[in-house]
Amino acid sequence: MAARPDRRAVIAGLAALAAMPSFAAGNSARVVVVGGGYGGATAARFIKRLAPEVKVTLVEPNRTFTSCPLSNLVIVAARDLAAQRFGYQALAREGIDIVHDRATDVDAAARTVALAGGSTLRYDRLILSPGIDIDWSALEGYGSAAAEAMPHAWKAGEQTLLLRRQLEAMEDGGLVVISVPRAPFRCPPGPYERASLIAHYLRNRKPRAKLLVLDAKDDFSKQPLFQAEWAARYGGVLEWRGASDGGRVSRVDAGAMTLETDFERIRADVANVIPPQKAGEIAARAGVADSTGWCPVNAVAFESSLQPGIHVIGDATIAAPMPKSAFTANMQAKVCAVQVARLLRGMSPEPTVLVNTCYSYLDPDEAISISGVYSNEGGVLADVPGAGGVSPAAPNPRSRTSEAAEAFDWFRAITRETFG
Amino acid sequence: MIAAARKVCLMTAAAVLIAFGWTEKQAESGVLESPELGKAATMAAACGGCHGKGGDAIVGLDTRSADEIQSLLMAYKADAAGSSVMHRISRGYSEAQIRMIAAYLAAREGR
Ligand SMILES: Cc1cc2nc3c(=O)[nH]c(=O)nc-3n(C[C@H](O)[C@H](O)[C@H](O)COP(=O)(O)OP(=O)(O)OC[C@H]3O[C@@H](n4cnc5c(N)ncnc54)[C@H](O)[C@@H]3O)c2cc1C
Repeated sequence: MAARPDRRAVIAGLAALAAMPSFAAGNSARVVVVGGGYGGATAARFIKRLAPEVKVTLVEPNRTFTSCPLSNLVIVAARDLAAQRFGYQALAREGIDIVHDRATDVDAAARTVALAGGSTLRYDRLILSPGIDIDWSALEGYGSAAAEAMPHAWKAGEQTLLLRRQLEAMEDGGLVVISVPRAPFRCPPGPYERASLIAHYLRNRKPRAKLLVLDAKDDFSKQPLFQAEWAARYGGVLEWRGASDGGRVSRVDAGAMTLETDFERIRADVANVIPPQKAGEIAARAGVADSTGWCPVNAVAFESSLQPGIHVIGDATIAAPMPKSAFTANMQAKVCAVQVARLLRGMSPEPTVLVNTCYSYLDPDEAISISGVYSNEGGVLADVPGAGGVSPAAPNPRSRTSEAAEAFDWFRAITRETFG
Repeated sequence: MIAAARKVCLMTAAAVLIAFGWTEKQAESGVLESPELGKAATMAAACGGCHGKGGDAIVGLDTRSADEIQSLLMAYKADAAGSSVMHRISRGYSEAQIRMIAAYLAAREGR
């Protein structure tokens, strides 16, 4: 009974949207979404469901999306890459136009997107969720050819399988090196999850092999937790070296399989170079990326601070303290979808509360997590004080395994919400 | 004229409800007028990233009443020693926001 008035108030809240003028037939608004990953596919679905009269076009070159989340399990042969793949059939069934092409340019003044195939799409509102591109110029010696010898595996797919094959082929007693860039980059805890899983793999399959993590930073996500767990589990296997201990890699030589820090040149048997990154190239073409390579936004509707009418979500944005995660991209997409629907009807967007949670595997059966709660009042993302944080350092015995089970359920739920 | 406008309103509201899993029936029984839509819809959107139909470790929210969801979230929020993901998240919301989210979630699924 107590909840009655609240429920009514919520229902009443819908009136705000309902009262907005709807578009006359033949004159429906056009939303173009570039990028069919966690951000873009979610945004396209929610706009179409919120405002069916809006013509929603999703531009994505690939017919199937390959998910990075859980791809570290694929690298250590604990999961099939096939389980990471998702198609766009559900989106097409919902009335979203799927254009399998690459956006090559955006004219913000004319409100058009040019596609590699030669056609042009007009939009009233554009949503960019292009994820990351590798900044090939940022690490001396690294490039797309070098990545065939020293995979980044930071975009899931062939690179993931390449790193897996290299690990499998490596002789026992070999040295695996992971190099980690300075922040910001996609998935802040991702390199350390990968290090944990590779250390676990080596301990079981190649017990004389070693893993060295060379880091361009001195701090990282969930650091105390990871380091305590590494000490307990992977003592003789995994060594992490931070920037002040000469961990920063300044040059690589893919031919010689060497990585250079300020102090030494290290020869690896398997080298996983996670290179510096930037917003997907189309962001710069659209004029929404700044000199950092990432995209400043007003975080109420995720509208670009540089180009009106263009919204940017996901990894491409400058959204700290929200991390670059699939959870974040999907969360921002839903907020952006509501606000774009409101803007198209002449209403102003409303601030809200956002959440992120990222699970990281310590081994294939155990995981830890980090959560955050954020306000976007005034267009600026900020931690809600007193909320969020990481898994306990001294957990009850089942906590790590139940968080691994949660991670798996999370993946199922979010991929279903994103791709149907 | 007013009747026609009202019908358009209800249809648009229905679309919103369906988008977030509410039913048309609720749209029509709903009392209109409130500035809180964006907040209700977007705050509750945080839940869908994990709580779909439910799995082995994460509960679905499709069978819970507003009272149940609200008291669960309030219990998480009040339990200072708790360290689960839901403890950490629930601390970020006021009681009024929790009531709003619970009501919103529970009003879905044609109950
Ligand atoms: C190893 C690893 C593990 C991870 N684990 C987790 C995890 O456990 N939890 C978590 O929350 N996150 C995780 N992440 C992070 C997650 O993958 C990203 O944050 C997420 O994919 C970001 O979504 P997005 O929409 O910004 O980009 P993406 O999901 O990468 O989607 C971008 C899409 O845009 C398309 N695109 C790019 N340019 C164009 C163009 N010009 N025209 C058309 N289409 C274009 C691409 O083809 C791609 O499909 C992990 C990442 C890595 C690398």
